[in-house]
Amino acid sequence: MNDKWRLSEDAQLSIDFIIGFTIFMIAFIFVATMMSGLLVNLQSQTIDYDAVAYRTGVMLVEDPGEPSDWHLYDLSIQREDVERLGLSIGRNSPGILQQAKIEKFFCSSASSSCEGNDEFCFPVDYRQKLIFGDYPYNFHISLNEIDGDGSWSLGPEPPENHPYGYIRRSVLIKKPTYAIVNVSQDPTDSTTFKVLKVFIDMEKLYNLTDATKLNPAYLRDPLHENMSINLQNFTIPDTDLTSMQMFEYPGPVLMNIFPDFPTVLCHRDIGDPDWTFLTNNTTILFERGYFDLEGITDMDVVELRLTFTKIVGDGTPIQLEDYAQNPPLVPAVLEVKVW
Amino acid sequence: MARLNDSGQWIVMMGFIVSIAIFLLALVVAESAIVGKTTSESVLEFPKTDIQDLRSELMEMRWDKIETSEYQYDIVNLSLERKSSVIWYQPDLTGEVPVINIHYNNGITEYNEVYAEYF
Amino acid sequence: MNDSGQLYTIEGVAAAIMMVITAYLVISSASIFTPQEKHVAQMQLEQLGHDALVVMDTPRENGMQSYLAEFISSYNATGFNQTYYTLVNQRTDGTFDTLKYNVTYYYWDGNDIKSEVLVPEDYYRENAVKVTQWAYVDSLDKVVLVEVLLWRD
Repeated sequence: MNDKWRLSEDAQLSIDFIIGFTIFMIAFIFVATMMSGLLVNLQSQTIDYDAVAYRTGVMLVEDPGEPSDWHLYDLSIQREDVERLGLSIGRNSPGILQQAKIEKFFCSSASSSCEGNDEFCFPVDYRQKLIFGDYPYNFHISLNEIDGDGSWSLGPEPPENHPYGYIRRSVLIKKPTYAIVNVSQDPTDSTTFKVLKVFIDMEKLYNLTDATKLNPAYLRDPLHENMSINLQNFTIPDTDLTSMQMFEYPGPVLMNIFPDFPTVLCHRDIGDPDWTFLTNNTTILFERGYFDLEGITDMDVVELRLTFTKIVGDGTPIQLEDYAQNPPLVPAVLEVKVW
Repeated sequence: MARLNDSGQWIVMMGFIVSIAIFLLALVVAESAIVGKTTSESVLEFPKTDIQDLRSELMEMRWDKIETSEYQYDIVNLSLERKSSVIWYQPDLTGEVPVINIHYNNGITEYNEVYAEYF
Repeated sequence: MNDSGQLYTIEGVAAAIMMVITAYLVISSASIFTPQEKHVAQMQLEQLGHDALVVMDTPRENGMQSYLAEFISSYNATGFNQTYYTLVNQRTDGTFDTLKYNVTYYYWDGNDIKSEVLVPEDYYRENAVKVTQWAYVDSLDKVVLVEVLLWRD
């Protein structure tokens, strides 16, 4: 009878197996718990738009771009040579932007014919040369002078209630050099001259002969910026400009004045009924890149020779470095929004 | 006495080894989940503004023809006391090109530069 | 068929598969998982505050003194406020942000570090950043360290 009632151990798990299986299951439960942390990585990654906006802001404000005179390049032929965009005047002057670079940067077009023109293609060029990365970011960049009129913007605003990465930077803008030259139309002057010669000695503007180097924020820079000469003090009526020539020294060698940008222009008042005659709003503008295109370096001397219909002076040539000045730096605010 | 029935010992041992191995792998997985630093933490940590400030101040003084060594004590002490960073600079006017050696160390980032002033 | 040892084999196979899957997951998903961004606001404030100080410390024309040096040497808090407030708060569309700040500057007077408050403002433990700028003050003939504590209201 005892034999029959003895516990039968047939067809049951052995105790060895149970212990082994238990240890195995405990370890498996550990792993299963940690597995839940893995799936977070497999979710859609949240992109750090603020980091992209910050990086774009730093590049615009603190980097002069690569090459640093990219704003003189004609984009219809040299688009690939511009590697990186940046608005600063130089590596050692972060926070000071160059007006010419700002104007070139914000000049863009979204149409398909932008490749053949001297403008940036929105948004492709900016994604490749400023924002970088494979993801097609949307962006809105705006720059506004605080007490002035200058206001530039690029790209659409972010949609309502859509989160975006944001950075705001405070900057100074370096405006182009100008010179105010008073002509002297004194009719009683015995030595009468109808030609005005303006000498621009690049060496005096760039490599000052005394032992100090000028802070680049105050450099008078016709090679990379616009420069304008305001002619004032026209007292004799019917004075007109008959010819404008540029000469390069040593020589003098006649330089080209191109029909389109970049070239040397003469702006005159057109509101006046006698619009061909000169008033005190007459300006000669050297467009940025003109000297570069003509191969003028910072060691050369050039001469602007203006011929008028009436006397304009006593023949002494004008040294532009005595008259050229920079307007004060203008504070501005730059915003970058990325989404 | 009958010999202990040790036919299950292999199973238990293998199970034990396997579970330990899985446990260690799970630890590795858990560690690999959170690595990496946020961008803004890196930005805050790197003293870009301090270094830029120092350089621009030294350059400004040179452009204004002020002898930078006069104010060295001011800058070094203020920086050590208020910003917990070590600054040292030494102009070297011998040689063809005048240079200034700049050193900055805030404990996390160290910066050395030999800035050549081309005239 | 002798099926003793079946469970042993199954266990071995399951363990092997488990280890292989784990190893694969570890290696393939060892990506950087950046946790929640807590410091973005701080970074933005610090960069903007410092930019505004740099704009004030740069003389607008060659040969002039910078606004910062002028305000410090003449203890002009209203002047500082007028300039710095706009630089730090104005957005490109003309609207204004709500940042507040207080300004102290430190200088070495031969023995000690002394401090002067230029712009007092009550600070009640908001999240703030401190931005600094060196300024050479002509009238005191010293290099001072200007510290601005900046926070969003």
